[in-house]
Amino acid sequence: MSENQLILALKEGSDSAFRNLVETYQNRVYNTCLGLLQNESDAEETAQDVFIEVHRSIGAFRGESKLSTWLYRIATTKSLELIRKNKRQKRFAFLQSLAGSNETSDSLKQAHFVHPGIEMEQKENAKALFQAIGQLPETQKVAFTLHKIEGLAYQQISEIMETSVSSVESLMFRARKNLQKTLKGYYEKNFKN
Amino acid sequence: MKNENNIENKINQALNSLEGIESAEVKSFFYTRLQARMENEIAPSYGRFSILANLKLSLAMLAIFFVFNLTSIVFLTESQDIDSTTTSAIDEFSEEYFSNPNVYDYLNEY
Repeated sequence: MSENQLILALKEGSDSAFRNLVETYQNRVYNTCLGLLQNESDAEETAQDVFIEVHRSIGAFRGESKLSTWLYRIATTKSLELIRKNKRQKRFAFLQSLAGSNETSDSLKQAHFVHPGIEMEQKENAKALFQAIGQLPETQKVAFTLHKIEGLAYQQISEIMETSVSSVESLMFRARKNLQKTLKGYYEKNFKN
Repeated sequence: MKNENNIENKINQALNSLEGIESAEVKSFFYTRLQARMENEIAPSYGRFSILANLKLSLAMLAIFFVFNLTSIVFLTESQDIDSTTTSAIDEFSEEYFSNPNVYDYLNEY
């Protein structure tokens, strides 16, 4: 089934077309969400949100971009929304802790995240890197994740982020600089001897 | 100096740790879980008319509606009967005193 046929069938409400779409893109969507959210259950829930959104708004999809680009765009948007929500909860939990409550924040779950696709001998290094990625500004985080974790080319990332290829290059350059800075601080603090 | 080189190495190792990363895969039965969630989310989405989705509640409300209607019809009929008896009593009174002025005409016969 070609992409146009798939889109047409989805617009007609075909269940088999929707199943086909989910099974084709589920890992790509999940991997993107996991890279950004650094939490498996959040990534699964957000990946589900992405497909529910697709099911809901396929009628409005004009086909100006590729289906995969549209899916990646929804996946990054939904993931960033959840990151913002978690940050708000973290701030609220901080205020609660000041008020004497003992409840811990959910965002602490991501402190020791390691992506399941990382090679065994790289896990320790990757742990520090993922913590540093978590501290990047949103656009840098999206560009870096899509390129390094999902393996997309700058051209495709520029389409997803609706920006130019040179902007993506700039985002990647700044992301790398910021990661070096954060990692330097981390290693200086933890491995002084 | 040695320490700085060590940190520099560690930074590079961390940055290169994503080389050869494999894509993460969803757990089995992702589509089934997605379908179940969609069914749960779509089911109560009747919005402000959601009360109509509950058939038992709708039937009960319909029954109450009919009972109220029947009760009001019965009461209205009864009150109309009372009105008619009241009216007839007034009519009798009126008839007795005012409707036949000729009753006292014999007084003028002299």
